[in-house]
Amino acid sequence: MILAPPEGLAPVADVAYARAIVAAYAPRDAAQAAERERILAFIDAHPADAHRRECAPGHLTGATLLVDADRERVLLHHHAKLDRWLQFGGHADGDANLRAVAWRETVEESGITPALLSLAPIDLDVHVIPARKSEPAHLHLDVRYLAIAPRGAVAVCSDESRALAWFSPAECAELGLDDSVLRLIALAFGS
Amino acid sequence: MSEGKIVFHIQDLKKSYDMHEVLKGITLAFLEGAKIGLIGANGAGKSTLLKIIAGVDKEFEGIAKPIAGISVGYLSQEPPLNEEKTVGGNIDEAVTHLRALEARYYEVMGLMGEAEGEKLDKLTEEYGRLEHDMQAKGIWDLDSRLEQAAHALQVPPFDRDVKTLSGGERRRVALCKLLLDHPDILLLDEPTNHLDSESIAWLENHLAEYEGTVILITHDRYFLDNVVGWMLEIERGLARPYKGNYSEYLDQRSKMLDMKKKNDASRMKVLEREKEWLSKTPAARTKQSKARLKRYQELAAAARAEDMVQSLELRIPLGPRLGDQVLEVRHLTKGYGDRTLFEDLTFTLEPQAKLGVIGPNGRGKSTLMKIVTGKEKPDSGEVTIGQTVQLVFLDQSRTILEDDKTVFENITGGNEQLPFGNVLMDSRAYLARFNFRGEEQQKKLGECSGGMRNRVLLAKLLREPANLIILDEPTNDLDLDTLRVLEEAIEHYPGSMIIVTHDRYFLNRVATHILAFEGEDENGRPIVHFHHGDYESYKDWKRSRGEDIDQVKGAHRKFSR
Repeated sequence: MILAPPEGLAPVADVAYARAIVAAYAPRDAAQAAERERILAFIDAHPADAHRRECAPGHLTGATLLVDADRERVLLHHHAKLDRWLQFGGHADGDANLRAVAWRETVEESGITPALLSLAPIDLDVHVIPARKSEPAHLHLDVRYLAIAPRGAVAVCSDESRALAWFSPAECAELGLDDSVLRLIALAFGS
Repeated sequence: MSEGKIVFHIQDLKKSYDMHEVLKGITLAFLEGAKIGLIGANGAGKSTLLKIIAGVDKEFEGIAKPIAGISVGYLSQEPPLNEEKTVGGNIDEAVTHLRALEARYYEVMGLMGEAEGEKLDKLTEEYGRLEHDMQAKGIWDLDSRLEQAAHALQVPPFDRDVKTLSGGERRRVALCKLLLDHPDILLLDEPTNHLDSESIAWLENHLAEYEGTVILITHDRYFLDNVVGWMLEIERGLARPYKGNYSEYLDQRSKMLDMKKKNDASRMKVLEREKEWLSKTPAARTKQSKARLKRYQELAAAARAEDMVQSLELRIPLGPRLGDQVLEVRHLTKGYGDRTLFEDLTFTLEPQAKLGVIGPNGRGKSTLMKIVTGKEKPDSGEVTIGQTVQLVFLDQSRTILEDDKTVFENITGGNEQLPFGNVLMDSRAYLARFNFRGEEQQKKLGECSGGMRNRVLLAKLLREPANLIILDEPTNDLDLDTLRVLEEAIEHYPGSMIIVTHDRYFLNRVATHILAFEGEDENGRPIVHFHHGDYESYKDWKRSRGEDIDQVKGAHRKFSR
């Protein structure tokens, strides 16, 4: 994998673009291969709107694990609605360029413009969002990238979060994070 | 292969030679396990970037360093060896280091039995690290790995003095040593040079399964396709990464060029409009004129910069018309001492045929070329060359170039114009066809890289009118752009050719017939097979006989998993 400065982040309307991103992903193990198959099957079943939140059974999302310039800590945000520490990310909202989605959400939610973003996803994750008053339970098909913040970057909290904080891998272990977040952190720090 | 952990970080990397800025601010990071092919025209800065990543070149601006604890190993084009030692002594340097790790591993294991408390914690931690190294560096089966690598890479006998080795042999020793050492980041500058196709196949396999990051420069496009998952193109001092191997990179690049053409068309329109506006009288211009003038200049500058990387077009001048007979080889036998290279070899080269000559090093390919060109005598049999044939031989040893003369003088003999048939061509324009521009033409040959020397030789020899051209390893050290151009030129060349090469991609594209030095039969007699058809059909023919030449031979097992 190569991480490069942001380029080629123009939005793309056609879901085929998102499918190509997922299809080109080389899974590192059987679990990731299974996630890849699930996402591809989902896109094939919803070829028009898999990248829109109006697609009720589920939709594509983009996410980023943001690491500091010294590669010692990660920036997480405490998500207001979900009441959890999470990596940055969000709905594709019609943009099939999931790398651009991951990028946009990171800039919006962290206030930081990363220096580098991975060219391709480093991880895939399909998870269930429980039902709420406004919407039934549905899937998030999350395509996840790795980014590095510039030196001295200052995080700025957005409306969606209660807090932002940098954590070392050891501190992350104490936060009661979801397995899928821990998996990303383990990937980034090679533990 | 898990990719996640960042192993190397480059930020705002700039590098200049004298006043010339080669790298103009590169920012990138590599993750563990990435296999990356570095490409770009000769002189674009590929080797420079590799040297900086290797830590060999420390004269640069910006940041370029591996993260703590990551080891980096580098094979340069002319790798240094310890001149005081034998081949075995040099390889032992890698082995000694690994043996020390192994010894410490068993020592720590023993100490853990007696320690307790904080001391035990520390030992346990070290033990974990050592166990990881034992696994990752393949120390458990070091002896068999060493044996396999030395065999597959055709490393010279271990008791040889390294001072007596040829350039190719030195590279094989250095490569073997480096692979045994198993660094986290492996950097290779033209690793396939001086390797035959069996060794290349083994290396390909080894690198594809290498548990670490590999960054390499190669002109072997099959090698790129089979090994790398990422491409990094260096162009005009900047680095552009692509996901995919060489074929996928070509796809993406041609799509980008299509887009660029559209942009160019619209930019030309804007330029036309702006030029029109500029030609109006100053009074007619508005107060925005300054900004507008600046924009015009920017656009024009951008257009100029992109024209610099225009595509090359090489045409090989054709000599007099060929008659029906080109080359006939009948019952040819040659050997040295008690070793027979070929025996009773018979084949006919037809007009316009492009004969690809393949096979491992040291089997007699170059000797056959020397016999065909009259530089050596066969033991028996004869070579007949047609009356109308004018032969040019592009030799592996490149002896006819003069180091103290410039590129221009070497190619043109100092003439401002060169005759091609009945027409005269401007010498500088002829050199430009071989990608020598401006200052480069005035460079002394002694200061040129291997790739440039090869281009000089091509340009010099292809000046001579010929209708039979013999090329011995023409693809060594050429950059990919020049290679593509050479292939095209050969494809369109109406004369005959004999090409000795290990480059399978090249072979596939240009050869119409194959002469294969296949080794020895059960009685130890050499097998040389003349095949009426291209490389693909030769492979099919081999497969129909139950032999797959793309498969790695049994003796060349991979040595680490």
